[in-house]
Amino acid sequence: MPATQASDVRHAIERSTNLQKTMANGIVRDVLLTERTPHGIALAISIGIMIGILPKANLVVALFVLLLFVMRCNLIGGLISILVATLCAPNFDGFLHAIGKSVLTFPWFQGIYRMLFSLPLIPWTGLDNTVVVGGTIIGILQFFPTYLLVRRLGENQLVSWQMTHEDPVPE
Amino acid sequence: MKLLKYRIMLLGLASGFLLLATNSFIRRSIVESSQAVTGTSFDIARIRTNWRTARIELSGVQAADPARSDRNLFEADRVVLDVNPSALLRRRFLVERSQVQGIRVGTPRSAPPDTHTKTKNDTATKLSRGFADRGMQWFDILVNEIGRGKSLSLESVSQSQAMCDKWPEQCRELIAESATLQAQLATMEQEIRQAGDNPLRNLNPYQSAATTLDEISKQIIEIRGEIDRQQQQLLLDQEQVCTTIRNEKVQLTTECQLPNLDGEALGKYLLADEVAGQVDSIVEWLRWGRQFIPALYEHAVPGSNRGQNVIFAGCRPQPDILVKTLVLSGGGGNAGEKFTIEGTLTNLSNRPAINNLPTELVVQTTGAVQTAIHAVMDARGEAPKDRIFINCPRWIQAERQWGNPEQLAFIASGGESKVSILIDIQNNSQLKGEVVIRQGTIMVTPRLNDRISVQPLPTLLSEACKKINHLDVTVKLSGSLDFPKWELRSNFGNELAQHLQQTFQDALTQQRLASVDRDQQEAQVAVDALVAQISTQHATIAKQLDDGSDQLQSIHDHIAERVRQNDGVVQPDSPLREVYRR
Repeated sequence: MPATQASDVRHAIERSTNLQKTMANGIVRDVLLTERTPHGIALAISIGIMIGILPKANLVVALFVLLLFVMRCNLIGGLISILVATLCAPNFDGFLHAIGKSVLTFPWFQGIYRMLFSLPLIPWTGLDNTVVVGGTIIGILQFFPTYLLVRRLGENQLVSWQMTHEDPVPE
Repeated sequence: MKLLKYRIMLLGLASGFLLLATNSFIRRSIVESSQAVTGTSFDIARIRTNWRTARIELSGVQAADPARSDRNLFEADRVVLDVNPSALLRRRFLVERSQVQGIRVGTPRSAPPDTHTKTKNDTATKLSRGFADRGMQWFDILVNEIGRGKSLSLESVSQSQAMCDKWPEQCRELIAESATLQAQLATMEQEIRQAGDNPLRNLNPYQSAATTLDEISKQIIEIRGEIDRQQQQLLLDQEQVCTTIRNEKVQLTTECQLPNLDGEALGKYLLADEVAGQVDSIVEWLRWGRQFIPALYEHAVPGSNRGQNVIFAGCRPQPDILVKTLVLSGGGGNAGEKFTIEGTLTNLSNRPAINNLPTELVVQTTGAVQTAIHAVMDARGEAPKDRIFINCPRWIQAERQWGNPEQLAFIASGGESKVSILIDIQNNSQLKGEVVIRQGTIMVTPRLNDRISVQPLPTLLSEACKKINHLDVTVKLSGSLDFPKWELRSNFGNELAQHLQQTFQDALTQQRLASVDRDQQEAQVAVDALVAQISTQHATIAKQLDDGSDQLQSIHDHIAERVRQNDGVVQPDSPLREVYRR
């Protein structure tokens, strides 16, 4: 093979590799690493915990994941909180099961449940499962306290950052 | 806005990837659930999902045979499942009608070797082991009896031998005594002759001769008496041998009875392995089914790995997966002949215990093998009930071997058989059933191990086997799936036992009688010869005694004559008397 052709091939491979790196950097920077504000991080962590504590194969989780993606929140924070919550969640299954069971077996709601579960797609939500229901309730209940707590912590961190650095925090 | 666009794109990509992976996911789910249920390797070559028509098509489906890893239990070219979309939206996999095309049974396995199959307990040998020894005992006895017939010890032969030992000895003694007497007579005669004619000159020899004459005369009388006694004893001994020979014949005819061969035990011994294999295979399949799908027979609503699925008040639990009708079609081969399979499987679900209707399988094969299978698996209620009926009016049996080739085995010819199986399983695992096998024409050839192949055993066995022309086997099943019991009844064992008993009995009696006749004849001839010989010798001795008596008389007369001459000399009016008087 002539030297010029070999050089062209090498350049083409380098260009392709650079393009892939640029795209990956772009996705990481523009999709995952955005919204690094206290609000974005707090929102991501709150939604991530909601997703993490739930069993995964159901529509509720799919809806929460969609929520995570469409909300202006920090995806990396959300994914890390999902991972951590998923690892910890089985330890609380007994608690979640107890809450879910008490809700699902509550006599007054039986008619509503029956009607709901006769509708299409509702059975795919898995809301007849005690841990899903318990996890959803706990997830919703923890949402605002977690959001507020993480946001407050983030803001405090931001103030201390601004006090020690002259440059503003990059957006 | 740009951020949202990127994220929606990422989510879309992820969803697209998931959609593309659906086929792999469905394939893996089906393979894993099938392997969990069947306990054997399950392979699907290709899967195609059409979301618009809610149709799933599987092709190249293979399920490994748990008994043989290199063969398939069944293979299907194509499985088409038309899923009810409305039910699918309600998280139920409901298939109203589906088709399995190109079913083939017992094909060589083209997929990787089976690694999933759980080992089945081989209870066939366990079930049949008890029969083996009982059946073989009879043959051991038979071989012993035939061997014994060749070296039978007879009383008549012993008596004859004893006579042959005793009588010549006794006769020799008589001959010796007779010879001694003759020698004495000869000596005496010589002494008398030497003494001269005048007894007055040699008085002593005459005196001693007179004394000896009396003794010899007495001895001759004694020897004669002994000869008479021996003659009578000899005849008595001869008569006794004859009587013993007659008694022995009677005794042998009654004694030479083989122990009764238990036909049932023989049938079990010979057929146990074959039938146990089939029965055990059926039981093993049933047990295997119950072992690997116990959850199907449970009424509790299953939960996921986490939590519990709640059935709301007023709702009835339903199986997640339900195939209402599965149409089966295909073919297979048995002993090189092809047959076609047609059938339907209805109400197949992952939770038959909570299904409205029992699972039912109806299969009909046509062609070389005509079989009807009707299986009802009713897992509803407290005690699940399974009922399986298999009727095969034309099953091509291959040639097979019964018994132990190390001892005695029978080669049964192949041919058309009728097989009928009815099995009920109640109260979880209580087994009740019947297996009937009938082979209209059969030819049985015995095969004996060289160790016991003693003529005429092989010939007799062949003769007995020729009389059996059909095979009827009935197996009654009872007990439980874990501890099945079965009772085997067959015409084969009874008929073979009957023919063997008769043939062997006749042969053994003939062999014994021939052997005894030969020995007795020899004994009789020996005794007759002995009697003739002894009689001749007695006659000879008697003749010698007669001669001796004559000689004795002659000596006596001679002495008497000489003594009378002396008396004449000394008579009252003789001159010698006058001389003595003076």
